[in-house]
Amino acid sequence: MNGLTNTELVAASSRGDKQAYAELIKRHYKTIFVSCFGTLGNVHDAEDIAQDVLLKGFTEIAALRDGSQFGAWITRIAKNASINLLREKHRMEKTKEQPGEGPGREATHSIDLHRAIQRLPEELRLPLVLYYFDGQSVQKVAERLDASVSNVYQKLRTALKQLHNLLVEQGDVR
Amino acid sequence: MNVRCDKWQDRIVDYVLKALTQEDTDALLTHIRSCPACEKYLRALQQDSNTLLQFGQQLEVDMPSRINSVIEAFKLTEPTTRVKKILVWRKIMASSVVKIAAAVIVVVAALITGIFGPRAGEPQKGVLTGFPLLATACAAEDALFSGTQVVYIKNEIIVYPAPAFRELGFTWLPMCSLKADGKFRFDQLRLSLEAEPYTVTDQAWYDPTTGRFVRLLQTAGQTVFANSYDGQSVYTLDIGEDGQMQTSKKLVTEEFKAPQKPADFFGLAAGLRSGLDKNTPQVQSVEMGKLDNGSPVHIFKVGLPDPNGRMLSYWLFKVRDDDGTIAEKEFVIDQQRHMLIRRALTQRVDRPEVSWNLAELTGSNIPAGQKPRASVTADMVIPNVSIQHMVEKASFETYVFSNRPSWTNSFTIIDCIDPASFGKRMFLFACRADDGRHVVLVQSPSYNAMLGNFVKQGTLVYTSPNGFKVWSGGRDKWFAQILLESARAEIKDRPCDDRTGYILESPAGTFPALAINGPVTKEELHSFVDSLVPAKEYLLKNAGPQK
Repeated sequence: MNGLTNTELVAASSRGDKQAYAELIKRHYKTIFVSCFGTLGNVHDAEDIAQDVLLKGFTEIAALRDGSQFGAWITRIAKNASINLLREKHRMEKTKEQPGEGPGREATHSIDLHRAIQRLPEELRLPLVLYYFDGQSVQKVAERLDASVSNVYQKLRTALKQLHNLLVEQGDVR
Repeated sequence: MNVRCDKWQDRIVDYVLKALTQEDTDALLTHIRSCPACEKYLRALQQDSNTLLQFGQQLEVDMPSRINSVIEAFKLTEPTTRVKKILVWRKIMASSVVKIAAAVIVVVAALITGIFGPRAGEPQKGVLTGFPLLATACAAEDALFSGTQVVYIKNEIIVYPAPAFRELGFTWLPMCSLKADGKFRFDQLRLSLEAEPYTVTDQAWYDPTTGRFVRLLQTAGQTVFANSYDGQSVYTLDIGEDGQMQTSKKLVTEEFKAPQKPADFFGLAAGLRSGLDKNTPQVQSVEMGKLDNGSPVHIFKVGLPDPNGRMLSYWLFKVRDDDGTIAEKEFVIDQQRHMLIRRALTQRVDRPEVSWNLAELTGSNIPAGQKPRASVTADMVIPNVSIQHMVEKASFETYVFSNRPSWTNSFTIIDCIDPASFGKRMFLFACRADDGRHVVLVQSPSYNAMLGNFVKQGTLVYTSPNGFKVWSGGRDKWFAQILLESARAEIKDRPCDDRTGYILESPAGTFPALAINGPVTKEELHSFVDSLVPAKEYLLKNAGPQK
């Protein structure tokens, strides 16, 4: 399966070939997961959405006409699913006035960081996550977001400053 | 940073993002050398950046395991099954009762394994090396009970108010007592929930030369439990449901041996031998710390994370640096100290303050109408019971394998109190396998009551001709780990990375939980589930009580 192109794997998957689809999962999972995490700011929600979308993708793959676009197609579905979950969570938090799925009160560094990432606005969180968790290439982030390099730089600057302020605000002062 | 430095802020951020030209970098570094505020800001941002990178690297490390989980779930998905959002275990874990049940079952398992399981230093499959500090702590605990004089140890159990236990109405600790045949009885020390912290004292006297001992649990001057051996008989003192003190005396049997390792069941070290094994996933961290009196200790955090990776409940074992003994163990739930067990006193004495013969112990009964603050329920865990026993004790339809899986050896059944269903019993089936793919099946009233609401949000992976449905619930590896850990006394090995777990839905509407310590093929899983039959039916077909 390793030598097959995305187009060939999509065609085989459309005929019900589960091995071919498993190979597509291997190739695209990380991109989908990072995209979900960038949108949601929560590792566990990102895992759930990535898995959910990939499993559903198999039942809907026959609708994909151009197999070479599998990555873009499934990432778009994942992005939409993440936004829907985010909206649902915001709605629930407003009605129930309950805290979000925060990591609790344990004052460890990684937990503070996780919480600060969650509190960043989504338009800043996504470029920051893509930059730090997927190779630190501004060019690549710009391509993924279909934005200019200067625009991505501007967002990264703002994101890093805001993240620092959030960490200070949370008491994680260095 | 002063107002004049504002212009450097963006440059500092760009520097951290590696977006500055060499010329701008030189200018920035020149400024930094003369401006402590900007230097501090730079360092802080660099630290944020490094933390983000480390977080990203950690996610990267876990990526293959995430991908494998998705592929496993995908392989098991039937083409016609509409895949629903898999959050089953997350939702189940929202119940504080379940959090407690998950936490305590591991503690019980650690206790049982600590006594029956492999001892530190002995080679174990799946465990590569001993853990020096653990071995030291256990050796130090053993050494407390040596010499020629009577050893007196006083521990204090301090029970704090615990909102997390409100649903249960009480809290509890597993403990052991000795029976006349030399075997252990696994008890449940039930402790009432009160608004203010209170203390239960746990005193033990042990004569190393004869093996005689007496153990006494008291609160507010009231004896609530005692167990002793006077060289001829074993005595047990309980408080009955009517509040009356009852003492039983039994002559020891031929197979009785005086306890060789009292540290295994007198308080602080019970269950420690396996629970603190560095190579088990239960030890989450080891840190340096201090006791309230300033004595340096190593603090072991022991427990299992929930499906979201959070430690909702755990034990902290504090091992003294000076003599290697255990000074305290503390149970924390929802970030709150719930119970603290600490060593108050260790002495060598000529004789115990109470007689080895508990029949001579005088004390008061609990006044009529009052509930004791602490009480001991016998047989919290009964290892190695028969199918007949299970059928008689179970409050629900139980199942057994009519043909055990071809790759396993014979199974054993452990009967224990269901920690989340008052007064009811749960049953753990454990089959050891030569290839390490041990099987554990847990049938529990709590699972039956809770899983029905959630399980159908998972993925149906198989419907058996005998009417069983097999569900995959999402965080199956975590759940499988809980089940496998709970049966460590039987299966010995620690849960492996490619373990698998399922929730079964029986024709009777019960929800047995299944874990396999390794991968299984569809065919293996199917034949396994197909062989499940009601235990009553199995007994009838196999003519009478048998294993």
